[in-house]
Order: sequence, then structure tokens, then C-alpha cells
Amino acid sequence: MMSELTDFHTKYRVGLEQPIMKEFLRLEENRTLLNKHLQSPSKEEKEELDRRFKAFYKKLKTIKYINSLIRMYAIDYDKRLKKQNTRNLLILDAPLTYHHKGEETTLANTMKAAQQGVMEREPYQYGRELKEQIAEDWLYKALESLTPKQLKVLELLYVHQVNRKDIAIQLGSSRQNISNIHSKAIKKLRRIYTEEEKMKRSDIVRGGKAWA
Amino acid sequence: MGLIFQEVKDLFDKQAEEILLEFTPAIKRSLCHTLYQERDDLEQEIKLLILEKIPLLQKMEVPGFWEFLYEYTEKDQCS
Repeated sequence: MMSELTDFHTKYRVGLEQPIMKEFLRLEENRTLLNKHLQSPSKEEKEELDRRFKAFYKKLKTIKYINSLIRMYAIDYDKRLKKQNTRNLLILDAPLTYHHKGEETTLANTMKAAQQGVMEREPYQYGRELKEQIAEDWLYKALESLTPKQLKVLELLYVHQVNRKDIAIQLGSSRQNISNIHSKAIKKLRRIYTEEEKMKRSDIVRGGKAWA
Repeated sequence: MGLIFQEVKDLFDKQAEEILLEFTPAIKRSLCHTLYQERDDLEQEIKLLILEKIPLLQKMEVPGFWEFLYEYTEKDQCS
């Protein structure tokens, strides 16, 4: 009996040393079955060993295959995602910041927010024009001497308190241009104001003379 | 015919479900390198991929116990 076992082991040494075979024979039930077969060979046990080994082999192969499938696919997926994100920089719903799922800020969100900022203030509401707010005669006249665009900018800035950036969006212009229009308008108003003051002063002087 | 087909299909579904369940921890592990916005999508895609491959794996030709041993003995003798 011992010699049969040794014979078997020397004859199939290489095959028995394969990791998968070692694993298979590490299981108690398989080892017992093999020993039993070597002691008293029978067709049934031989077939049973074949059946068990096939199932074992198939299972291991499947596990190995699926494991590498999962790993490779996950890596590949990441690569594809990075490629897409670096190539298409202007996707509107691409997340800008990463919070919890569903709470991301996207490029589209920020654009909408900027435009809503202008619309919320409803700049064209009746009774909210700049000239209607003016009590002083000279200032009303001075405003009429401004260009329509200058007037509009002043109105949005002071009556509706829209910031320069939003005015630029609304009038289809740049922020710098809005600033320019604004400062020109203010300069013009200041010039008219100083002239007005001069005239007032000379009026008082003249009036004083009249009383004297 | 229809009955046999149904049985085969049931067997496939059962095995597929078992395999998916068995590999769920491995799938979850593979997700940790991906942004969490993408994890659900990736998990779904991997599961689909495994389901696609299961018939292939079931058809896989594998050696029997003796076949395996003979094969290595022959290789050994050749070299």
C-alpha cells in the first residue's frame, strides 16, 4: 500500500506540485477519496475525483477571471472618466465641487444664479425710474442731458442697486465698459453741478446787492 | 422544449445571482478609486459585464483530475 502511494507521487510529481492541485488535495475529503482509490482502485472513485476536480478548477478559474475583470474594468472606467473630464471642459452640468451626491454645484448652476441675480430686482418696474426719484430741478435737467445708455447705467446702479457685473450681462456689455460709462456720466453731472452752484452764488450776490 | 428552456434559464438566473452576490464585496472594493458620483454607474456596469460573461465561463473546458496529472507527466517527460 505504501509503495503504491509512493509510486503515484513519484510518477505524477510535477502535476501534484501545481498550486491548483495542491489546493485541491488540501481539502480533507478529496485527499481521503484519492487515498481510498489508490488502495483499492474503482471506476466510481476515479470518476468522482474527476468530477470534483473539474468543479474545483472551474470555480477557481471563474473567480480569477471575474476578479481581474472587475479590477480592469474599474481602472478603465476611471481612465475614461478622466479623459472625458479633461477634454470636455465646458460641459454645463459637470460638477465643479464634490459634495454629497445630488448636492454638487455645476457650471450651469452658477450661470443661472448670475442671471437670476439681475432678474430678481425687476429693473423695469413702473415708478422706479431714476428721473422719477429726482426732486431738484437742475439735476432732472442734467439727467436729461445724459445719453440714454448713461442714464440706464445710473438707474440700474443707484435705483435698483445692481452691481456692475450684472449690468454688463443685462446690457450685453463688459464690466469695464459699464464702469467707463458710469464715470463719464458722473463727471458730466459734477460739471453741471459746479456750474449750477456758481450761478446760484452769483444770484445770491446779485440778490444781496438788490437788498442793499 | 419550452419547459427545458425554462429550467436552463432558471438555473442560469440562480447561478448568476449567486456569482453576483459572491462578488459584491470585490465590486465594492474596486469602486473606492472612483468618484462617488460615478460609483453607482460603475457598479451597475461591472455587474452587467459579469452577467454577460457567465455563459462563457459556464461553457469553459476544464481538465479532469487524471487528465490534469497526465498532462503534466507528459510535459515532464518531454523536457
